[in-house]
Amino acid sequence: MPVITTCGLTKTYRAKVKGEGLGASVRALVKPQWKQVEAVRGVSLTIERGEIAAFIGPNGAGKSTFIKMLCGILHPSGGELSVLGMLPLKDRRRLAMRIGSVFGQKSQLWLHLPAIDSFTLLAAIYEISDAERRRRVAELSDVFELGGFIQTPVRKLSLGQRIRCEVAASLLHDPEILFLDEPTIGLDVVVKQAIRELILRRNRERGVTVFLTSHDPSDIENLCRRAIVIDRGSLIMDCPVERLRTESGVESADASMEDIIAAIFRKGAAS
Amino acid sequence: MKLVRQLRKYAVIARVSFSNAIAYRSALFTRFAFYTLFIYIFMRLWGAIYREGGVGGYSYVQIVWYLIMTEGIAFACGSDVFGAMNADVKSGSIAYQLGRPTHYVVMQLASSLGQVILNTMLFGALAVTLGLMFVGPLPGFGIGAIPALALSIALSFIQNYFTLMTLGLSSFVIEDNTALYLIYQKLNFMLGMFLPVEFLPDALRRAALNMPFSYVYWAPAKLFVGYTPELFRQLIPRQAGWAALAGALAFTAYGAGARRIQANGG
Amino acid sequence: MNAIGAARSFRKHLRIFGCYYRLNLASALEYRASFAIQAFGMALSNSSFIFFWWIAFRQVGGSIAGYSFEDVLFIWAASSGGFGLSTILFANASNLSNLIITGELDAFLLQPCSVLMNLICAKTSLYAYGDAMYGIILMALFYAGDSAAWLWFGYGVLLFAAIYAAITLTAHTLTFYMGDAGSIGALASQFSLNFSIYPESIYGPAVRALMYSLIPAAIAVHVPLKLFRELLHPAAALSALGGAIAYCAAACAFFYRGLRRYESGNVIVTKM
Repeated sequence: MPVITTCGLTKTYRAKVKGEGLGASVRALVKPQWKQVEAVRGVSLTIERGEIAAFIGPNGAGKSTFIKMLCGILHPSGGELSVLGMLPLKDRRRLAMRIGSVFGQKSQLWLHLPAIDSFTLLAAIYEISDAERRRRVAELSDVFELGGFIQTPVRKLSLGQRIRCEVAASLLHDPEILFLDEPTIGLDVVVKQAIRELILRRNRERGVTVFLTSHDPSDIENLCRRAIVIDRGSLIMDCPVERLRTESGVESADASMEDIIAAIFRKGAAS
Repeated sequence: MKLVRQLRKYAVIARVSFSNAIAYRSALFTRFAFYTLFIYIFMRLWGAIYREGGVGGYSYVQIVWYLIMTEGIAFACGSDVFGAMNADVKSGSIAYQLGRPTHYVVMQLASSLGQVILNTMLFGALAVTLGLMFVGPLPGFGIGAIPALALSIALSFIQNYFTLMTLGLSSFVIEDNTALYLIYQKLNFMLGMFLPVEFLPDALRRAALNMPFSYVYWAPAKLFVGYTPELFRQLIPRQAGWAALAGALAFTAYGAGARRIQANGG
Repeated sequence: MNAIGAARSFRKHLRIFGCYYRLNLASALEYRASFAIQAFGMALSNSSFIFFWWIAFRQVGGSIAGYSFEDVLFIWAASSGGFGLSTILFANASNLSNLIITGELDAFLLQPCSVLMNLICAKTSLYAYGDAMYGIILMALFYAGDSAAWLWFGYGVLLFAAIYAAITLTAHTLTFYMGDAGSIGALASQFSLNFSIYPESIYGPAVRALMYSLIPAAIAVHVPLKLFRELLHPAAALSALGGAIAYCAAACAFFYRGLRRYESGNVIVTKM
């Protein structure tokens, strides 16, 4: 059963064009020049319940615009879109109850307070009763091994501990889809593996669908089964991760995932 | 020769900070708007007060120009050196400055100077425009008073700058020194910026004249609205004295702090 | 939405609101010393204005622009208390331009509750506690036993808190339309304060029209004073209240209209 379906999804921005210097600034103020920027161009894809998909692309490829449309933050300019059977922007609040996200470096935890306090706030936002909240926090704390530092102000945690709290926070309301944007950036190898293990476990046990963007080849290799590559707003590849090697045209058998992804990006840029 | 080379170095620093300042055009626009707003409000306010009766030796036109001057100094010569010092001491980055071939205190001053000179010119132009528009020219003011006034403003800036720097450097010994800063700032407001010292009750006025605070805003503004050579001879030595004392304090505070770092590490 | 749904949603938002309040306070108290100093700083700053008025009335006596010293203390108490309450509860309104430009507004759009409420309640200001206390202390010092004064003070504080937040929000909402309106927001806030802490008759007719219309800070301070001094019929209290509610409703509508531009991505370009 598909949880995400897009058909010809498109997003165009109107961007102001402004030349260099003071004169151009004044002109832009009086008579602004506009140009159309196509951030996402007719992307069609379907994601089934329980999949773990990697969303890959060079910087500025349109990844975050695409995800923002799925979450109901941005209006599509064209095409069709359905997430958990809903139109994201129309049913923003209803959809928000059922999806979770860890967006880049933007924390949903309160820096000066222990993570447990942020969980209490999130529980109020996601309409979780006190008894239920205690049960879920205990469970997450157990699985993510937060017990040792859940009462410590977040600013005093190591990055690894903080990310574990972030991911736990995004799972508190038991979402059906989890959007992860660069979840392992800046972490050391051991912590990276632990985070991946936790995500996999959640997927296995609860059937959570995971939609992940990452620049880390080992995230893609060790976490995802499917790779979706986008470049300059267009879908250029959508295949199982094992097939990336053959699709990329890299001959060498011992080429790393990093080499393969680089080859795909280069191919995209050349076309 | 060595002195010339030395001065050149700081002139370059000042010039870089000057061009840097030009880059903040839009921030400047906001500050212009705020300045205009404050002058407008205080002009209306003093207008209402003067309708009730004359006040301690200043005419209405004089008091408006007085405020244009004090607010102008606050806007143009104000500096965030207190915050910068605090941050440098707390982050320990002041320790790196010890290794540089410039004196930290002088370098700080030079790097603020560019901004201040630019601001003084810009706010000066705005201040004159606003004054002429709101209340007309200041009676009895002659071009001849300008050098004296420039000297007084410069001394006011130096006194304020070094005092703020000393307060900032106090974070070597005081954990949270913000309270000191706030008290200093509000004393400046009450003893000169909002109203002339002459308006204060006798005992307070006598005390104010023997403390440094009034010499930051009151002295240059008083000199501006009621310039006489006698007043100049009276105020400038006091301003110079307080400015020198503030400078000495800043150098001493920095020296003590630097020795502390060299002795115990940052 | 039916009545039960509305009641449920109201309870939910009240719970979130309570949560934000507790977390903000707890966050502030992590730095107890700085909390105390900021509150002290505000009280000191306000006192320097009162000092100014004391000197001014010492010089000319009686009344200035139709206000006695006690009147000035009353408008100061109401403004300071109202501003304090507003920035204790809705401090994040003044952060809106910033949130739009950095894209941090996204986080609020990802959560299943009212964007506006979630947004403006998410932060508190530490200075605000000093301001709020200052208003109460002024009242206690000069109007201790006067119940009418306290009534109109409370009325003014509530009105000011709401109107000040609405004015700030409206100005920052302009960022949706024209790029960074942060300085317009700061100016609007400054206008609201300056319209309320001085006797209204110091301003000319054009400015006075402004302080009862586009930036209606006056109805939260000068109207309560006139009600207290019985210069206005008590029914005027209701029309001021109605005006305040209408203004806040308009501010909300304007915000949501602007938000549609954010959702359609027109604003995102400002950051590229």
